[in-house]
Amino acid sequence: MRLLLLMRCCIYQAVKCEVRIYSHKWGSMELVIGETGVNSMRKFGILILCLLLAFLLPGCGSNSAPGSNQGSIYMTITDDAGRTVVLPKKPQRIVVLSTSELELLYAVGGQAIGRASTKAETIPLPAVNLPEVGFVYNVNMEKLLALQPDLVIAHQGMHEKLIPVLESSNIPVLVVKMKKYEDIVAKATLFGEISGNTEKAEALIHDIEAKINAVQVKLPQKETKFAILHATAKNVTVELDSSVAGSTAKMLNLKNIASGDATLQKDLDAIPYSLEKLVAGDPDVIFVVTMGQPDEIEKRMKADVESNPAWNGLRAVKEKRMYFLPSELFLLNPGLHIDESAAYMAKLVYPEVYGNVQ
Amino acid sequence: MSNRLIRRVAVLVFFALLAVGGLCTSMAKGSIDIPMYQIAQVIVNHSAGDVNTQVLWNIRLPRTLVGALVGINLSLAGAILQSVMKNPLADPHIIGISSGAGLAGVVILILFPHMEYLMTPVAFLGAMGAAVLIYLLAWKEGIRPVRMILAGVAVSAFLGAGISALMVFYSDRVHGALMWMVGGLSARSWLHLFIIFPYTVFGGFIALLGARRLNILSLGDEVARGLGLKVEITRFLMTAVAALLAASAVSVVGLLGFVGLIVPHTARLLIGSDYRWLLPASALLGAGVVTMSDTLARLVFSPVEIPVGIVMAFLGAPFFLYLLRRE
Repeated sequence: MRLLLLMRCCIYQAVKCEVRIYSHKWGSMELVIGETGVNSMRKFGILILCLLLAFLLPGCGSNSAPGSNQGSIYMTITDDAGRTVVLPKKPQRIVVLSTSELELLYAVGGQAIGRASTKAETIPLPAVNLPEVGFVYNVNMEKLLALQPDLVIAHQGMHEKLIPVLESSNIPVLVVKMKKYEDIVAKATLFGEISGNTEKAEALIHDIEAKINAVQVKLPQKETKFAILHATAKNVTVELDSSVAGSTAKMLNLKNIASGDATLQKDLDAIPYSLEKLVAGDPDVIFVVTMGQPDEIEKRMKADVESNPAWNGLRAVKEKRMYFLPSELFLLNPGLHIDESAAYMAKLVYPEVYGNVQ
Repeated sequence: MSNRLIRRVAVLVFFALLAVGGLCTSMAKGSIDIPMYQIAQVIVNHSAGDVNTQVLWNIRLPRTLVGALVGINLSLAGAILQSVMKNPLADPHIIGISSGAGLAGVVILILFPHMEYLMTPVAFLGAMGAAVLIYLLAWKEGIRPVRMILAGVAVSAFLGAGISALMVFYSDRVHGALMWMVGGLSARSWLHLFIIFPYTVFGGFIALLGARRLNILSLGDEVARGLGLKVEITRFLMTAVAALLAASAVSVVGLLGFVGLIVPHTARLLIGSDYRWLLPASALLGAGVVTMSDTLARLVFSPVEIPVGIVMAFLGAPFFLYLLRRE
């Protein structure tokens, strides 16, 4: 890996040299143009090309001279996309492209210099006024590159297409998955190491663990079956165990009626599901993941479902045990708030133990 | 009886059997196995409250019937439009039904998810609105089919851009919109059947009444005028009927493409272009194709369901090409 880096640098140096050579000739070139016309015009074109190349390849400037890179490497990370990411030095200019990662980075004492624009989620206070690089799912590359980051933290499944561009600009990209509790613990540790605050990260993890344990110890000893639906009465899509809500329910020892089937053993979050099978599976509780204003959706979807005989046969619908999960805790990843997700769901399923949801 | 008549009756009977077969298999097969005798019992008496009765009476039966009616509506609409536009590529898409209903549906699903109960009427209005808009744009001292098709392509592209823009900017919410764009019969029940049923009866009736006029219209405007047909009025009325049929179907199941194009063509290849035969044949074949495709959609990866639109395109397109090459 280090060899590769070195080679890259050599190439850049070579290009730089060439540019320098041409720029030395610059003075005499102008004279030549007048005399030999076409031939020198072509040379002029090559010169422009080289200049363009020099602009397109940042990192070939003076700060990446071979000497400074041969020292120790700060960190080598294998990210969630299976890529090896090398950080030559401790990142000072981190841009985070997703909100929950941003929140986590600040929670472990790190700092960013740029973030993605967002509509709903919570942004840590010190990060509110950071420069924005476009929406989470539609990042503006020019703005991103203009910030000259030395590390970009990207969200798995959203930002893969940006990797080639960033890599060719010599900017390390870390692809991060944050869905399950384990992911969040692992990322807290990782971000702690990156920002040099391992102790703070450990304290944070300890804190979340304690909160989740507090929920788990009170779990009643009984089996509760559930299904998680996407908020629409027009089609039946159920979430599996790898989704945010699904993994939260798993922490509470609830049983997903859609997760037992052999055909479903793939890394899918949600699948279109047979309503017949749902009725036959007879869930005790149905969770609904909502997008947009939950109150309005809840009112409407309840009316929709109750007026539709196809849904009405579900025991959970008849017993009015259909619960709507707020999107900030269950649709996208809750990040640090995963204990709140667990507590919220526990209150819905076992109000007799945990009390009612406000 | 002439040979041609015998052939036509035979094809029609075959399509009828296909439709009945489609309805029956759709009732008999599903994610959970229910014995045949119980299916018969439930159809006679559905007051029992057990799981199988619930599944059969409130999920499988209405879904099957909605599928059949949607098949009928889209096929009839496609058949009518192919005559009115004198273009083999004409289908409900060409008069903006899909793009109009698509944009309206996606706007509801993405921007106003809490108003999903308005989905069906809004999609219907969107479909009809796009159809009227295309008709007005194409109007210049009468309607020329080519102008109408071009106007349809332009308006569809315009509305399609709106759909794409919404899906790009709200990519966290596209799931429902995607399912709507593909079209499917999941979770359809009695109330959807009641929405679509009047249109099928009314539209089917008017279409059959107009079969002779459609025949004349297929001969070309000059000839049709010469035979005393009021070309403009007929064309407008038949387009309106097709729009009603397609809009009602699309507003209930989403953008189920393909049926309106392939089914009338397949029927035409087998039974000929006489609309008095072609319309009932298309309707029967449409009902059979949609119910059978939906059965497959439910069974192939059970309990995972594939939207029926995908199954139909996978099976129907190669079959249609086979018919085309055989001729």
